[in-house]
Amino acid sequence: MRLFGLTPTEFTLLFCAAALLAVIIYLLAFRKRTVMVAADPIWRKIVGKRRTPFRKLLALLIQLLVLFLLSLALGDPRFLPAQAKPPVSMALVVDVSASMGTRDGGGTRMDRALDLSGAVADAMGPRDRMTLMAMDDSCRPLLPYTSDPQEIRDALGDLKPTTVSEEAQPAVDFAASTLTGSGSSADAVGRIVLVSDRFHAIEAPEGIDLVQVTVGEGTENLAVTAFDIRPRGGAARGNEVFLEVANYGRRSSKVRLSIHTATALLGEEILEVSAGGTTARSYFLQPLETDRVMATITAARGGGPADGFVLDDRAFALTPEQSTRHVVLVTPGNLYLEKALELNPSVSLKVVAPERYRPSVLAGAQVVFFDGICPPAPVHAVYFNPPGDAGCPFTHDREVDLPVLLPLRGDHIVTRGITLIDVQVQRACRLLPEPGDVELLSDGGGPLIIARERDAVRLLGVGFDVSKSDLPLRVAFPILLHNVLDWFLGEVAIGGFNEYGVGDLLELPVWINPEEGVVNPAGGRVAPRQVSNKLLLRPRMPGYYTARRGERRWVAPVNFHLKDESIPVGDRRETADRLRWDGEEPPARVVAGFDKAEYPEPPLQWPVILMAIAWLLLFDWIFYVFRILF
Amino acid sequence: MTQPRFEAPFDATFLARLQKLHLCSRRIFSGRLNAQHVSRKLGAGMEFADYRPYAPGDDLRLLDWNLYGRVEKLYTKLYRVEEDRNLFFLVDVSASMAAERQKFDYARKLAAAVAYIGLYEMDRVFLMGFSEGITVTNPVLRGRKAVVEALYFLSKLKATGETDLVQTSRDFTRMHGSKEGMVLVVSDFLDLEGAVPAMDALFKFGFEVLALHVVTPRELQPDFLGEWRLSDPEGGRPHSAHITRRLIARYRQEFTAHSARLRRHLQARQGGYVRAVTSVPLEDMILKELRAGHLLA
Repeated sequence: MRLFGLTPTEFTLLFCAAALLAVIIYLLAFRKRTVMVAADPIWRKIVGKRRTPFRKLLALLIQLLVLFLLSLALGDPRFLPAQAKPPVSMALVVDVSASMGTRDGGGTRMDRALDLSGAVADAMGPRDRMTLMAMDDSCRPLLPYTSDPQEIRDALGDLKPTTVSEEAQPAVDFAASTLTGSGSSADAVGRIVLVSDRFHAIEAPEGIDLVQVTVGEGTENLAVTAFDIRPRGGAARGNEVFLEVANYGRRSSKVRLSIHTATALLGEEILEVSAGGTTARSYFLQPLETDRVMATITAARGGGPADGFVLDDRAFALTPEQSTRHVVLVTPGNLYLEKALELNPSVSLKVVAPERYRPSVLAGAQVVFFDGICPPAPVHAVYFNPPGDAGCPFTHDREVDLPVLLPLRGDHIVTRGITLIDVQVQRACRLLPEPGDVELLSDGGGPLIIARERDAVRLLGVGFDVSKSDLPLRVAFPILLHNVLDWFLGEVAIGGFNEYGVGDLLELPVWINPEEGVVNPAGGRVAPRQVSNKLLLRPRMPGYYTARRGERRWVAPVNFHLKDESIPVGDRRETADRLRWDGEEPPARVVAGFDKAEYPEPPLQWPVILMAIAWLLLFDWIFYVFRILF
Repeated sequence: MTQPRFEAPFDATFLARLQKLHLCSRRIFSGRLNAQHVSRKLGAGMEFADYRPYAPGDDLRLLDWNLYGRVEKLYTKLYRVEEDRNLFFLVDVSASMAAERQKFDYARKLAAAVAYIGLYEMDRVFLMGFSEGITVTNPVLRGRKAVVEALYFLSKLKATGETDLVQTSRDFTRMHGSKEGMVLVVSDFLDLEGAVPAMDALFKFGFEVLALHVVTPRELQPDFLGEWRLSDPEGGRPHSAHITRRLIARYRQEFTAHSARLRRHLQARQGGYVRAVTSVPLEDMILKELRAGHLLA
């Protein structure tokens, strides 16, 4: 006989606890009450030497027997054939990530996975138990361990591919943890079957049999991997589009690329992308009435889907808002500075000679660049080669020739993405830092570039003349100026692509009402999470997420840029524990140990036990009445 | 062990009714002082006893002239002298009497009521308390004014010790064996082995023994079932018993047999026996039960 409802340890603990309780109650009841009887001689005469009758001990034994039988009934005991095979406890983990929606032939990979899962469930023997779990970026058990194939089939019917990628190792670890507590008998074989469209580099939990089965045949997929819109520079109106199409397949393919809005086609082109290669394009767009622009690839002929996986065939972007930064450059004539600033399309530049500089010149200006002069400034200002005279915010320390520069601090916006370590400077002047200043560049003896922030005004001091260095000749120079403007005025969004991807964590504007939530691309509402003072959202489908409150409006394009999901083949190298499945019957390795004909379902013993308990309780009651009456 | 209170046992109405009662005696004792009881002595009493031939010196007032007219012989009428008698009250003061609150109180009130009747009839009343023997005695009381003293004595009794009726009878006969009179034993008679021999000893010394068997309803019909530890108020190690209805039936049977044995023994020797159940009001016990038992008239 084996217990199916409880492990032997659980059964022992349960019975011991119940028996202990019964014995305590027995001892408490055994503690007799005392009564004073004047006629004690008569009582002694008739009671004699009789002690507590055996009947009471027998009552305790009956109670213990009842508790034992109750524990046994909870344990679901069954008599098994002597040479029965050990049962199998299986955790069937089905990949429901985005790639499982890839259409291969007549159906999707998900359909094949469901077919396989159903066949595995049908192969279960009466003593085998199985649970079903859905795996994407998390792992969700869909039902408890069961021996009923129909129950598993019902749960399979609810599975659909999601729009996120999968994480296999945590899912397998979670499945292993459920196997240890599945309530199976001690000799049960624990097995995890992972059904996916690719093999995963995961480690099998100790003592558990792990089998990976892949479904899917397709090998071709193209994806829009980059999509960016920025304003055209200078006086030109409209925007400039950049996009890239990648071919993850094994053969060269032609696709139709369309740039369009929700209502209008803006242009299209047939692209041929080599196997494993990418093709990039840029286009000019005329000013649009809408800010939402999409890029879609379809089949070169017929207009159908470009491939079996459509999630990555479309990208979403927003046209940038036109914003102008008003900058004043006070210089005796430094074309390097002037042209580098003019290159920035968001900058409106005004050049003033030093002798004509008056504070009134800065009216309406947001930023001023001083080149060789150092007057105080009421706005954000950059001082190149400040002379250090009276009234200058930066004080000279010592001049050095041909300084050897040390690596820049990379955690400041100004120095983001650039390196100046090999810049040649003819002559530089070290600046004296003040408390709170941030040294961005030094030569080991003192700072050459200092960032300062006082009373909401930000200042940057550069201790050398850029025209007497090779800095203007480097790519880093315009980036440095761009970073400076970003530090002064905040970053200007110039595009939406890759800003947000499926599964990324978005920080939403705080004015969004968390109760109203955000509208997702399907039109449903998604409630963001409120963490301290931030509103966070993890989008799970590509498209535009929007929110509105009064006049305020927020739009975020979310793109599918999960490269692992877009790669159609992945790792499909077969081994003993890695099987590809394209047949009808489930792999033998998966259903090993299952045997429906092993023996018929044994009759349950616990109803008989409950009947015995009822009889015992009746006997105990009659016995009790007998004890009192006689 | 609680000592029952004994305060103002009777009201005036009850006392008035007691005064009308007479303590019946199945024997005639010789007393010393004039009282209301017939004596074995013949003399100037109220109750005619017999004739005897006249002898010189007889009181001429006792000659029966009517008889002389018929038979022409002188006969003297003999009358029984009305004298006092001895009433010995043996009140059980063992611990078993205090096992239940009302039992000892009831016994003392009962003794007090009968003593009152005796005192009202000008008898000599001896009050004694006994347990393992006679433990406390009171000087002889006589006359109605002694009622207060009798009540005071009874109120001061404390229930303690074991019951030893045989030793009590020995003590009693040593103290009063030379006297005659009625002995009223107010007790629960739970000295199962000693009750009958003790009564026998009293009878042997010529006493008329009246047993007032004081029992409580709980002694007659125990009301506890299941596992109990039975404690004897007179000491001894408590003992466990599983009380069933059948055991209670046996107990009642045994209790009744003990009472019946005592009753039969007393009645066979012209003694008296009355069971005094404490649930019966004292007035009913005195005015009905004792009269029905021919102890009072």
